[in-house]
Amino acid sequence: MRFAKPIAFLLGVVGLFPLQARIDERKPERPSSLLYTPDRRLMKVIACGYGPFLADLVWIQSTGYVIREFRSGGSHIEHLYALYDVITELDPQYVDAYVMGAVFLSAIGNEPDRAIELLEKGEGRIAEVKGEMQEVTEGRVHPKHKERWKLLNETAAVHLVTYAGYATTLPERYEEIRTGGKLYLYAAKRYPLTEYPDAPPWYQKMGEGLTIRGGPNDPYRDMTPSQYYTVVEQVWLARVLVTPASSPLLKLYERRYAEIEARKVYEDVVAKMGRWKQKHGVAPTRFEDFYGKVPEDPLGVGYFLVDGKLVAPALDASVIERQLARDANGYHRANERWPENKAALVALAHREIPAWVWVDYDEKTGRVRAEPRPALVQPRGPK
Amino acid sequence: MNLPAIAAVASNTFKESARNRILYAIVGATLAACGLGYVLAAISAGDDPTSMPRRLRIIANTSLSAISLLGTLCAIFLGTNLVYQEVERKTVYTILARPIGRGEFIVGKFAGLAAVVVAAVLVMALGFAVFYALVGGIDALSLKHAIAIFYTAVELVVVVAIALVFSSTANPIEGAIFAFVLTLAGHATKNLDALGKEITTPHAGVEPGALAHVMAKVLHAIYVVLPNLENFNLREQVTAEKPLELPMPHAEILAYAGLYTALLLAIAAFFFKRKTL
Repeated sequence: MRFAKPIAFLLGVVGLFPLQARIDERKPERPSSLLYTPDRRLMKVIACGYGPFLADLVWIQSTGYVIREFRSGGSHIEHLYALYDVITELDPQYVDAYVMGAVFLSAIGNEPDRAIELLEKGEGRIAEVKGEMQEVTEGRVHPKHKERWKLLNETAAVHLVTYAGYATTLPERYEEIRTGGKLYLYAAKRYPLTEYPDAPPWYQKMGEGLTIRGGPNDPYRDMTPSQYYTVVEQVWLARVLVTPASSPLLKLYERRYAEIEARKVYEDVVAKMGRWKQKHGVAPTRFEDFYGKVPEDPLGVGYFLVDGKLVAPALDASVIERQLARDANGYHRANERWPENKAALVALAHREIPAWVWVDYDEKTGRVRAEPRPALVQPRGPK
Repeated sequence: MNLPAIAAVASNTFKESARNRILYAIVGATLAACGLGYVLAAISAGDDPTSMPRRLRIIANTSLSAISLLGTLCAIFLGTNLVYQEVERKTVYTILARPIGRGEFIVGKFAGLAAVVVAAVLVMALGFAVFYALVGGIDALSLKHAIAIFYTAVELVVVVAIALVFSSTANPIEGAIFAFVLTLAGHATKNLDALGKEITTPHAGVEPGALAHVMAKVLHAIYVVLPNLENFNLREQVTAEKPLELPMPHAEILAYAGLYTALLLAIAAFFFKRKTL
């Protein structure tokens, strides 16, 4: 039995493999250590002068954390604001942290209010005083910081993309578009290219376009949707282009980009429908009558005519999902608990969920999912 | 196996290690860290009336981390000296002159030091419980805390075995460095496995090549063969807002600890048997 001991040892090593596999399979997923990021005041105390270094460490962790949470499909990312609040507290000049935090908060976390809060921490509050945008509170980022314009850029994007996207009525949407436009106009003045050479050169032109043409008194009112969607499309396209192909966020960005494409088709079809109705006095019943063909949906679900109105289940589902997620997050922030059931959540949204959108809500985690159900698109029939 | 001889070596090791000043210094430092957690909790939470969970979380985080980290230092410093000192002082000759094998000597040394480390963890856990109860009341303490501390003790027992391997192969300073590095690595091996999975994931539609798959397998093997001390880390589960999800794979985790410790002791015994005394 000369080899008994080495064989026993080898068997022991081999035995580690199935054992570890079983542990990995059954041990609950470790919650991210980011959930225990201490209070920002405490972080300042323990940073001992190494704030920017600690900010980098938390930044590295945070990106992994957000991506993991995003992959898990949640519509709420716990402590997302606190995380970027801590990073920017440790290093107040970390412009990218404000911007990335705001993008995550508005695009993934469905918390646009907190995105604005974070951006205002860096740039100060920009508000309209006597008809003109002004900085009414001071921000933490140095006024001469060469990348400071990014903060205002993202603030405008949150208004144009997120808030306007949530808007349920046209006037509300116009208001957000106008705010975005005014911020661009302010940015053109505040961040001249001579001092901030990396700032986009189109702030003035874009701002003028959005503010002059965007209001309810606008003579070119029918132009606004396509103009608006072009801006939104540019915002998302810019994000798609700067995102590495391996990033899981790319899918989100591509999806939002496709949504804007779908929205443009939708607006185009609605406009043509309106003209046809004006001409014939009745609503069309077939796409072929006024569009020549069945419009192609970039989201792959399709458009339908229901009782003389155009229905886009995929677009409806996307907007409803984001609205409900935002409402759930807002409720959670105010009450430290999630709405108790789906009915309570829908009541917060002040809107009806159409039959062709299926909503799933987990009251334990606040996760909201809305999916299109094109098979359920049926005419309601005469009332 | 000469069990009475092993018990005698273990008992002597326990008495000897329990008298070591390093042990008292480390236990004292851990208790101070528990107190620091109490202070940090007070600083961070202020007067916010809704801050109790956060305060408790900070105390639990600080104290449990201190027990683990300083307990690891304790196990390494005491463990790496264990065999080396016996050889240096030549006391090992009198022991090995008796009817006890070198392997049994190693097992006895391990058992004695493991008992000391477990006793130290109990004292440190008591300190944690006092500070935790001071803030949250006695009801705030729960089974999940006990489970987390229990697994910290199990982790430290494995660390003792790691230290013993280096104690029988290197001098105390080298041994302490190697053991500390291996222990640190033991908390990060999951990254190796994750890296293996990452390099075999297609990116932008490009399928990874055969070399990537081989690399992934090698990384997985290293992940399994290196000590995975994260198996015993339930500290974050304790402080998480999510409750500790039971049933945990307790049997597998304990079996892993047992098997890994046995393998380490076999390695330590192997080197000690070949040591020229």
